[in-house]
Amino acid sequence: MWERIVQIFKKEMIQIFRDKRMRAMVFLPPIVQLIVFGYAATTDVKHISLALLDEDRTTVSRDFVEKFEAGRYFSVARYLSSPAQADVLMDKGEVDAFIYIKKGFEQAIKKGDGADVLIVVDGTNSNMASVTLGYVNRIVNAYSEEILTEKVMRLASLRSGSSVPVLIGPTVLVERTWFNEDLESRNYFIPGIVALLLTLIAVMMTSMAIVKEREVGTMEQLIVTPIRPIELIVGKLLPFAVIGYIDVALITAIGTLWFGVPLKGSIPLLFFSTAFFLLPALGVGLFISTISATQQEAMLSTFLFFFPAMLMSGFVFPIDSMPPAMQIVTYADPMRYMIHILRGIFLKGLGVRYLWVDFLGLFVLGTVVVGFAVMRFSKRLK
Amino acid sequence: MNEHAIQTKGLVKRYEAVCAVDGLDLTVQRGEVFGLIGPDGAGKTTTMRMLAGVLRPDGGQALVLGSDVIGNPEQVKEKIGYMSQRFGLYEDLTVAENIDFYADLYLVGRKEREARFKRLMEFSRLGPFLGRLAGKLSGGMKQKLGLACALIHTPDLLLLDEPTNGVDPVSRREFWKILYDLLAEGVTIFISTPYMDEADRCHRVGIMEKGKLLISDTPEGIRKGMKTRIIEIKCANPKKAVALLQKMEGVADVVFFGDKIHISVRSQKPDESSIRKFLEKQDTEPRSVRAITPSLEDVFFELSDRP
Repeated sequence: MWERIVQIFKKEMIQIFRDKRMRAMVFLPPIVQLIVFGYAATTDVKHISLALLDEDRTTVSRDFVEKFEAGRYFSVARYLSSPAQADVLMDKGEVDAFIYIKKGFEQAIKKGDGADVLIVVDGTNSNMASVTLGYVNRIVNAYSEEILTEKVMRLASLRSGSSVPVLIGPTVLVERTWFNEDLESRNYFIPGIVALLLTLIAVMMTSMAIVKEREVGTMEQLIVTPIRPIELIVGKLLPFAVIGYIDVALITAIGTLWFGVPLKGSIPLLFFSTAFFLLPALGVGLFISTISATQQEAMLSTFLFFFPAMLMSGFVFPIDSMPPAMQIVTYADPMRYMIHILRGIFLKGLGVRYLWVDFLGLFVLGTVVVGFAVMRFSKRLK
Repeated sequence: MNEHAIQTKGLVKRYEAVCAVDGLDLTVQRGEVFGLIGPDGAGKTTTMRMLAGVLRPDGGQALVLGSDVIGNPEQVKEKIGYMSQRFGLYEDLTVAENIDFYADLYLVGRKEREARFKRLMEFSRLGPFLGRLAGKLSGGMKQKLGLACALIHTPDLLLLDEPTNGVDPVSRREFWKILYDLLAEGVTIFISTPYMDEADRCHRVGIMEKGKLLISDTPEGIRKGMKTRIIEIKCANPKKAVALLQKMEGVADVVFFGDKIHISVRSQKPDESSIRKFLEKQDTEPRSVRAITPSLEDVFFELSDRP
């Protein structure tokens, strides 16, 4: 049995590495993906440009505006003279947010009435808008707290006559982020690329390689040999498992060494989990090969699987924010488990003790998919 | 041991509405070259594929080398060699890699392989091209490589689906020479071809059309059983003669054959002398009128009842 598997494997490897396009398919996608997710695709919000309309023009209002400019997130791009100007700037996309300080800001604060400030955010990009509002909230809260503390202290010193301040400040929230301390989105994405690429290789390259034999006519010649279907299947799938491993190593190396993504967990566990993920992924590839007559069909079917699987995996959009019905559907998505395992290993350094549920999920899903695909795979022409 | 290399009874294969093979009864004896001839779409390839265990029939029985290829297609695979109509080898592998690959799939032992390889190189003369990619070979070379791969495991029966299609005459002749050598070694050869002239190289032929076997016999036997007589005419004014002959009673078909005219006559009535007289009367100056041996192509047209 193994002799034939080895021969198919060898033949496949020669073909893959002899073909320029196939060779590129092995090394190029991981590098492109790393560049895209490492540099360009970031959900971090920086450089928010503001339009400012300060009708108060007092030291207090200027002090307030300075709070925005002090941080690294905001910069005032335009000073306006009327609110109507903000409309145009927003439409053009020149500014992301608009701050409107009305006349009487200083007075209201001094009187202790509480002052109103209007902030308008461009909600076209909802993610950016909510992050912006978060920053604004934080700045405004800090500012209010400052004023409040100052007032309380002045009040206290007036009453007691002493200069010892009585602190009755409000509850203070101390923020700490664990596991991805800098909230770098690349740390979040790069481990996920492993799952993304393994899926592409295992599903697309595998299904195309099998369908190619049928399309070119070599399958017919294979069928008349005494090779058993299982030998043919294993021999055809193994090379892509190997390529998958090459890419996992490549992404891990570049991700950690070049992009500085932390790898807190164990590398053996990472490779171990790759095998678990390859089971359902190769199964899907095999299944697609049984329903596609041409390589083009196989490629289209791959994307039909790939995009929903990626979107539901939690790679970009958190599963917890999906509607409950959708959350249930994600359990059928092998990428979901793998993304969780990868982030667990890379960012948290988790071991099997915490990840076994995902391993089990992959194993069950893999067995079902592979079983179904093998049943459909027939050593005959149609 | 079963006497026959191939025996089918009522073999049927349907593709949706079309019946590609329609109740085929076929017998091929061991040690013979059997030629399956017929036009494109007659069902030759489908028959071939079913016999090779590549395609599952919709009905009937098929015994190949004594085993049932419908119920258990794997059993006989060690003993048959098959060459599909399309080049079925890897164009991105070299000649040597292709042969090795098939030797490995058939689990041919090292010693046996060496001997076999030498022998295959001798007759195919592929030796100088071992390192060349299969896709870069000429059509004739490709067919020889296909044959070499189909023979690497020393099969008892060779199934060849139109192996000489699109191959130049020189390579075709060489290819047949190889087949006769194999025959001398005791290999049974079942070959399909759209070329009627190749049928004369076979021991027995079966003529197939629209999924049915019209006749199966030796080439001579088939010719003898033919009712049609073919008469060859040379004359000074062939164009006029053709027009006249087409209207003559008892003439089934009139065809140009270079500067000659062939007519098919399906009864005794117009014989050579009456035709000559007829043409002389019409001023077409016949130089010779004689009956010739019908070709298998003529047989095919008679059997399929085409004009």
